[in-house]
This record gives sequence, C-alpha cells and structure tokens, in this order.
Amino acid sequence: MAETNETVQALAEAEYKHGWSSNVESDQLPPGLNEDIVRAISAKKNEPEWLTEWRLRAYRHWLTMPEPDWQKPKYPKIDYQNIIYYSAPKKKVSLESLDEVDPELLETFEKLGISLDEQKRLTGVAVDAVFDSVSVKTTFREELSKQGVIFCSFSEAVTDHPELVKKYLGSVVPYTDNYFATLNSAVFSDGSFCYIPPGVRCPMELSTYFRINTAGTGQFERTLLIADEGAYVSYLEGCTAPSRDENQLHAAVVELVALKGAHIKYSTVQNWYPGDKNGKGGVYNFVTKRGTAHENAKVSWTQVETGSAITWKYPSCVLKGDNSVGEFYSVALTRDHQMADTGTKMVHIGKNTKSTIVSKGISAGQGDQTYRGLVKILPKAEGARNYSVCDSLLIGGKCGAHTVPYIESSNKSAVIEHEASTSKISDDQIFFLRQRGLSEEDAVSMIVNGFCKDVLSELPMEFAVEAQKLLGLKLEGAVG
Amino acid sequence: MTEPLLEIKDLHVSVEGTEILHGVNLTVNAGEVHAIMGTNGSGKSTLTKVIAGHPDYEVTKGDVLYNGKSILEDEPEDRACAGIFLAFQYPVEVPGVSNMYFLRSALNAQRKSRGEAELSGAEFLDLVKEKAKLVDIDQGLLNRSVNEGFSGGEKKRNEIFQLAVLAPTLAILDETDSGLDIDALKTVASGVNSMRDPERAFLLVTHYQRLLNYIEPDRVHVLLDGRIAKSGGKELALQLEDKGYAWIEEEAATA
Amino acid sequence: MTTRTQNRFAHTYTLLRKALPDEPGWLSELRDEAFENFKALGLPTVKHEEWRWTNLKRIADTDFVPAELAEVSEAQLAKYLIEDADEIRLVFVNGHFADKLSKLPTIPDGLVIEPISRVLGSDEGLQVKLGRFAEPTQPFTALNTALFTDGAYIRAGNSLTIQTPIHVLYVSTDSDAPAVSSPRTLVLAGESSELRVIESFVGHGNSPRLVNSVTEIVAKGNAAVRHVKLLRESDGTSHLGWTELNVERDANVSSHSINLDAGLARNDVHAVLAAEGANCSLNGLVLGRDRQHFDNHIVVDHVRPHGTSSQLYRAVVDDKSRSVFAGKVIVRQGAHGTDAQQQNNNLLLSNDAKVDTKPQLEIYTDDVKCSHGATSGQLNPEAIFFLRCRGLDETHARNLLTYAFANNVIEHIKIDPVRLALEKLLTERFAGLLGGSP
Repeated sequence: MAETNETVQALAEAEYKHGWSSNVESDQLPPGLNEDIVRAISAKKNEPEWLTEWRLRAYRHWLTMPEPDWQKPKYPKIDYQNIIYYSAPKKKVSLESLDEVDPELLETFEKLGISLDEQKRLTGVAVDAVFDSVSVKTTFREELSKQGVIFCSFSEAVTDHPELVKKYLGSVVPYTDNYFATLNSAVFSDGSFCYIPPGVRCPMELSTYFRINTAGTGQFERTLLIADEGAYVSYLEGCTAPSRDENQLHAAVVELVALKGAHIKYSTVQNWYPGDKNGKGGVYNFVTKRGTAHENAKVSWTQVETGSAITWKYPSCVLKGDNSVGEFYSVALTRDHQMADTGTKMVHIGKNTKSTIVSKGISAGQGDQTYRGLVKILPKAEGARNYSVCDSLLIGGKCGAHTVPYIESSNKSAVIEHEASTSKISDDQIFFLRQRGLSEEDAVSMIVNGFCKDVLSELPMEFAVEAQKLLGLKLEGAVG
Repeated sequence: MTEPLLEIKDLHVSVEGTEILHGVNLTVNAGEVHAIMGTNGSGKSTLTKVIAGHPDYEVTKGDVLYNGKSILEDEPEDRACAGIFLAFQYPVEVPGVSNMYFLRSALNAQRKSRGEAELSGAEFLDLVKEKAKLVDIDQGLLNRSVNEGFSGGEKKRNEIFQLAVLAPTLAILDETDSGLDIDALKTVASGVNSMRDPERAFLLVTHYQRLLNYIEPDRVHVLLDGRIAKSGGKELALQLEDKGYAWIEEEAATA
Repeated sequence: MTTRTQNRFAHTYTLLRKALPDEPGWLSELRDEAFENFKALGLPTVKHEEWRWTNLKRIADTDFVPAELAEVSEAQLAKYLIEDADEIRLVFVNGHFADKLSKLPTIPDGLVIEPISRVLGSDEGLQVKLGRFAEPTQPFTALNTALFTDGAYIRAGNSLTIQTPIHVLYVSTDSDAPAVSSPRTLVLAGESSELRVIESFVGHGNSPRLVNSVTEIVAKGNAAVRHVKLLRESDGTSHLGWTELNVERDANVSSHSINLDAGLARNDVHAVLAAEGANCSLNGLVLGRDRQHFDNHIVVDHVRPHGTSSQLYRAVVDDKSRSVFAGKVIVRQGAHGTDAQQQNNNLLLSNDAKVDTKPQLEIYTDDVKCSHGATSGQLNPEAIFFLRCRGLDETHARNLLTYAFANNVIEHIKIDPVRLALEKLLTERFAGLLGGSP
C-alpha cells in the first residue's frame, strides 16, 4: 500500500521535459486587443481586404459575446488586454533553405525531436513547424506538390491559394461559433493549410509542430484541411511550450473538410506545459476542432492529451452526407492540478451515418477530468448508428473522473450504444506484476498503456510509439 | 547438510493491526513438495503473500530466509527475480496487456536481474510453445489480455503456464486447485508434476484434499489459527479427508 | 379474485393430502406451513413489479385438480430422450414416479439417485435440505411445497465425479379436467464432487394444465454442477418453474434454461453465491412462436468476496409471441472482487412479437466489476446482404443468422450430448420456422 502511494506521488511529481525556453529574437506587437491590433496583424501578413474585413467582423462579434462558464474546469479571469497577439521570430525565414533560419530556432525543434532538415527526417513525414505565431518551415513541399498536394503555412495559402482559403475558411467553424473560436478568427496569426486534390492518397504523413515560446503571448493558430473527392490524408499535430509561471492562452481553430468519399485522419499529441505541481502556470488549451464529412466521407480524430493546465476541447464531426463516418479516439491524462474537459460532438445529418467514440481518461495526483460528449441524431438521419465507450482510470485517491454523455435522437431508426466504466489501478494488479518481476513503475506503465491500447492503436505507427513514450514519461518519476 | 531453500522462523504477521500469523515455523528443502492445509481464515493465504512480499502484510516478529538470507526487506520484484513465484488464488486481470507481452517483459526483467541475456522474440516464442503444451493452454489465450474474460479454469491454468515459463526455484501455489473441475485439476497437477526437480521446491496451499490425490507431497502441514498445528507425511491428508479438522483442534487445545 | 383462487387451491390441497396419508410428520408440517404462506401471499397480479409483464389470469380463472399418474409408452417417451444422455434417467408422469420408464443402472457408492417418495423416511439429508433453499416464501415455491407428489433426489458424496448425465423427465399428459402437477428436484453435490443434471419438462397432448416446479441445487465447497432445464411443454400448459442455486466456496454451477415450447412459461432462477470464490453461469434461450409467452426472471446474489457470475439470455420471437427478461445482480456489502456480467439479446422475427427487458444492478460495495447490456432488434440487413452476395438466398441467409444467434447460447452447454441434440433441434426448428434449412 505504502509503496503504491509512493509511485502515485512519483507520477504526480514527474517533471515536464519541454520546459526550457529559447532565446530567439522576436518581432512583436504590443499587448492588448482592439481594431488596430487586428488590422496590424492582418497588415503584417499582407492580407487581402476581404480577410481583414472577416477578422474585423469576428472581432466586433466577439465584443458582444459573454465568456462561457458552463465547463467544469474553472479558471481565473483572463485579461485579454494583457496578451501579446502577434510574436514572430525576427530573422527572416527563407522557404528555400534552412541556412537562413535562426540556428537557435532549429535547435529548438531538434531538441523537441523534430528535425526540420529533410535529410534527417523520417522520409514518411512532412512537417510544418509553427513557432509562437508563425510557421517557420514546412518540409517536403516540393515532393508533395508533384502530386498536387498543397501543404504550407496558412499565411502562404492566403497569398498563393486565396480562392481555396476564401471558399473554405469559416465554412466548418463560422466566426460566430463560440467565444474562443471567434477570438481566434479575429487575431489568428498562422497555422497550417493543406489541400489534397481529388483521388489523391497523400503519400506521406503530414504534421505540424506547435511551440509557444515568447512569454505573455497567446497562440491563435488556424488550421484548414481540405480533402477533395476521394482523397486521403493522415495528419498529426504536436504541441509543447516552455515552463512559465503565468498562464498562456492557446485558442486554436481546426477546420476539416472531407468532400465526397474523402478520408481525413487527424491525430494530436498535445503536450503543452501543464503548470508546476502546485498548479502554477501552464497553458490554457481552449480549442475548437471540427470536421465536416460529405457523402461517403470519413473524418477521424485521434488525440493524446497529456499537457496543458486546462484542456477544453471537443473535436467534432458533422456527418452531413449520407453514409459518412465520424470517429473520435481519445486518451487524456491529467495529473497534479491539471484539468481536462474534453470529448466530442457527433452530429448525424445524413442517412446511414455512423460514429464511434472511444474515450480513455486517466487521472493521477489531483487531476480532474470530464468526458463530455454529444451524439445528436437529426430527423432525417435514417439508420444512423453510434457506439460510444468512455473508460476512466484513477491513480490514487485524490483525482476525479466524470462522464457526461448527451444523447439527442430525433430519428427512431437510430441505434445508439453507450458504455462507460470507471476503475482504479488496484493494489492487486500492481502486486501481481511485481511478483512476476516487473518494477512498480513498469507495472503502472504497463497497466496504463493496456488501458489506452484501443486508442493508441489508431495513431500512425511512429506516433503511437511517441505517444506511448510520452505517457511513460508522464508516469515517470520513481525511475533510477 | 545443505542449506534449506526456505526457512520460516517464528513468523508473526499482522494486517491492518490484526495479527494473523502467530509464530509459524517451516523449513522447505530444494526438491521437496510441501502441502499446507487448513480451514477458512487459518492464515494460509497470508503466509503465501508474506513470502512474496505483499505490501499490506506487516511482519512484526520472526524471519523468512531464502537460500539462507532474510528476504523481508526485499521488494516483491526482487524476490520474483530471485526465483520466488506465487500462483495467485484470485488471478488478476490486466486489460489491454497481452499475455505474451506481459510474460516476455516479466521473463526479461528476471533474466536481466540475473545478468542473463534477454530473450529475442523468436526464442521467447519457442519457449512459450513448449510450455503451452505442458499445461494444455489454448494458443488463443496467449494473445488475449492477461486473464481478461478468461474462465476460472483458464485463469488458473494461466498461472501454471507462467510458472512453467518463469521456471522459479520456489513455487508457491495459493489454492490453485480451488474451483477447478476434475479435468482442469489433472492438467494443473500434471503441469506441476512435470516441473518437479531436485533444484526446485513447491509449497502447495490447498483447501481441499483432492489435489493431493494428483500431486503427492513429501510433507503435509496443517495451519490452524495462525500456527502450524500438525505436520506429517501424505497420510495426514487422508486422515483430514476422513476426520476433518476438529481432532487436530482438540489435539492442539490439549497440547 | 385472489380469495377465490386460494379457495380453489385449498380444495386441491385437501384432495392431495388425502391421497398422501402416510407421509412423515415433518413433511406434513412443511406442507401446511407452505400452504398457509401461499394463502397469505395469494396469486401475483400484473400490479406486482415482478409480474408486470406476465398475466396469470388463465391460472386464476381455472379450477385445477391434482394430476394423476397416466400411462405413457416407451415409444411416446422416445422423442424426448437425448441420445447418449439417458444411461441414468428418472421419469415422472404427472408428478408421479414412473418406475418402468426410468433407468437406474448400478451407481457408484456415495451417489444417490432416487425418487423423493422412496427415500422420504430414510434419508436424513433430504429432510434437512428440502425446502431450505427454495424457501416457501414465494407464492409458487409455497404452492409447490404444499402440492408436490414426487420428484428427483440426487446426492453426490465428497470428491465424487459423475460425468454421466442424469436425465430427469417430467411428463404431463392430457386429462379431462385441468390438472396441476408439482415436480420437485433436489440436487446435493458434496465437496469437490461433480454432477451433470438435465431436467426435461415435456407436455403430451394439449389439454390445459399447470406445471409448477421447484428445483433446488446445492453445491458444496469446490463442487461443480452443470444443469440444463429443457422446456418442451405443450401449448395448453402454463409452466411456472423456480430454480434455486446455492453455491458454496469455490464451487461452480452452470444452469441453462432452454425454452423451446410452452403456452406460458415463467422461470425464476435465484442464485446465491454464498461463500468466497463461488461461481455461477446462467444462460437462457427462448424460441417463441404463435402466442407463446416466456418470462425469465433472474436474481444473482453475491454475498461473499471474489464470486463470479455471468448471464447470457437470448430470445428469438416470432408471430405474436412474447419474451420477458428481468435480470438482477446484487453485490452485497463486503463482496469485493466480484465479477458479474449480464447480457440480454433479443431477436424479433415479426412485427407482432414483443420483448421486454429489465436489467438491474444493485451494488453495495466498491472494487467490483459489473457490466450489463441489452439489445433487441431484427436481423442485421447488412449481414443478410453480405450472405446473399456470397450466393445464399434470402431465406437461407435469415435461417443461418437466426441459427447462429440462438446457437451462441447452446454453445455454452458443457454436456456434450445435450449440446449436440439441441444444435440438431435448432436446425430443424429454423428450417420449420422459415422454410429451408440453415
């Protein structure tokens, strides 16, 4: 018993590995938010008039919205006038060569295990690296462009492919959607853009790495992914931030459009700074992610959420077309004073639409988390089916887990199945594994990885290994 | 004379402040099979868990020597690596972790601690195939999560399978026979019998005499109220079958 | 209405007591007490929560006379026998022992297989155990205890393994006036013993009748009992059956309730996992047609730690038939380490068929693993389409899927001849139901 408590404590005390910051000179706008700042952001990015107007409309709408407080994790009021909305590495970034990139920046990403040097990268993965507010490097662009795949920073997309951006920006998450998405629409700085042409199976995994560096900055990136008819793409995002005492706001928007017969697989390994063990500092991760699936299309979300002081996100699927499919696989780990309120929304509009939800929550220390999920079947969604499983694993006696499933069905032919369980890592399990020769930490790690297996197996191979390591790292502490 | 493999001296054990064992003495030599019998609540399970190092059990007095050295300060995994194996009365489920992965991790942890090379996937597979035959365990079960959805008999068989793969020096079976039908019992017994070895000792804790029809013990001990009240040869087990435990209680009371 | 019914059975009770003048005193006392209980309890109506889906009007409105022994030929019996499972059999006709039809070959020492009537005066175990598990505190256990005429008594001594199945057949036949028979089975399995028991309830002829049975199975420490109840009653029969299982330390009891035919049938299974590490597996299958009504009520009571229980009940209902399932799992305080699973699946073959399902968990301790699930629906159109794409015609595809759905329960029966016989029976049944063979 005593030893189990030690492990639990060790888990709770394991340190954040990405807590260093980089000395990269940055070009910043002053803190604060008003129409001039919005215009200034737009001007810095040489945006066309329509986009500046879109941002301003969003900003004006945001002023009319109250900040939401229905979610379970409560946080101190954010002073929106005290946030830097634009920060970029000063040194000019050339897209042709890495030579001109600030070496400190390259090192930053190397340290994170993300090499921007194509020679060193795994050949199967193209990377867009986002540092504070801007994209610093996108790899393998040329190779991708041979197949007609566009993979670039959002800013470049605005310049090079305005017709696509104009057509799809805000088509899934309108600028009026919710408080943080609206804020993002006004001030978003950069992000990734991706377009897969009809019938193309994207030849490599696409990925974006996000890094918040500068103190006092908020990160408001915007990702837009369009898979045209019959296309396929697998996309991964990873996130880290330095340890800072103050809270940092990350309010991103991700929009996915899967046209007829397309398939988008979107995976996230989120490891923002969670704050220290007393709950000081850490990233507020308030993110809006949504995908629209047209006829026969499929949108699949997989997330491994281990970081952030507060995670508040519901990657969702709007199953608009007949026979479209939505999936959500999630592992969320909270420890220390981390809080997570996460889940998904599956909106069944088309006939014979199907959705699957597999959520695995792990709480250690004083971590607290809520699964919040909505399955909504609209009247015309004949033959819709949903299957949900929500399992929670508690480590120690001070953490909490809550499951809040909402089911709204307006069609009698719909079949909705929901399963939920809450379990504790039992002393018996740990003793059993130790009796067979495993250390206590390996025992805990084995139990946790077993618990998450159904989700981790959904991640692309190399990221599954990464995620497993990350979970191990998060559960580490007593090692050595 | 060679050193005993296991020597328990005047062992007193408490759980949450209540003393369960009141001075157990027991010596087991390599190559021997000892059976410990007793009624509900006599302390049989407590004894096995203390030897394996369960953290809930507090030794208040006495000692447990393994190969001549006290193991009371050793962690459960250290004892396992030293060759002590406990087959659990209620085998534990570990969802999502395959039997094979678990067992290979355990075996390699043990080998590593002994300074032996870890087994490769192929070597491990060969070993598993050989041992699976020994205990007649279905190959399908090996790839399923540890004990999850296994029937009671399958769980017990899985314990013996782990015993066979890990090949310990001291094997403690805590009521492995309980709840088994006759066919499963025979399989378990033949698995144990095939592993009898001059270097290896068995401590069989059982509630039912029937097991001893299939595994012949060298010594039988009756645990009564936290003490060994009577020891003898295998004939003692037969006496228990005929007469129950009451006469031993009387003997113990008058002694 | 209730009072009238009691008076009816009072008359039946008087008649029956007159017919059994030589019983030992303890049994007469037990019967009197039971009948008093029955009178106090009355017949349940749909206003009782446990009876809300099963209306007993047809029992309440009928006068029943005690059923009498009738002639049944070997040939008539033949179709209810199970190949390779009739080496040991006890046959009762209308509640009375049929010596000539029974088969009791030499049995090993320590095993007792007898009609209750023959050992009433001599077997102490019987007196001690009868009615002590299925206590006469429920209306129909009380009525059975008051009215039973005979039944099977099976007792195995410690460490005795009997792998030959013991088949107990309760046959009812046509009568001029509606008759009640009350089969009674008591199975006592000693420590580390093993027994396999099949109970067949078969109806001959279609005249209205009531069969009200009670089965008590007691498994002592480490014992293993495999029990199958086969219901092949006629459409005129109302069958009320109570199965009481008492499972001791480390014992394993499986009980399968296979409902093939009956006008109305209600099975209550009450399993008490009375000691640490006790296990039970309760499975059921209902195949309903015409206006048949089946009701399975299960209670599993986990009293002590580390018990396991599983329930798998499936119903296939056609025409205007109806199936009810109510399963309750109770985990008492202190019964930690309990693993209880319950699954109820229903397949509706017609729009007029109906199922009602009520799973319940009552848990008073933590550190338990309990799950339950219930589904009801029609055959999966995609599966039918798939099979048709592979070349099966639609009827054949439907048969195959229905067969597979039902057979999933049969597969759990660990008495080989019974399983094989039932698989065969299922094959015939679905060929008959749907045309073409699966």
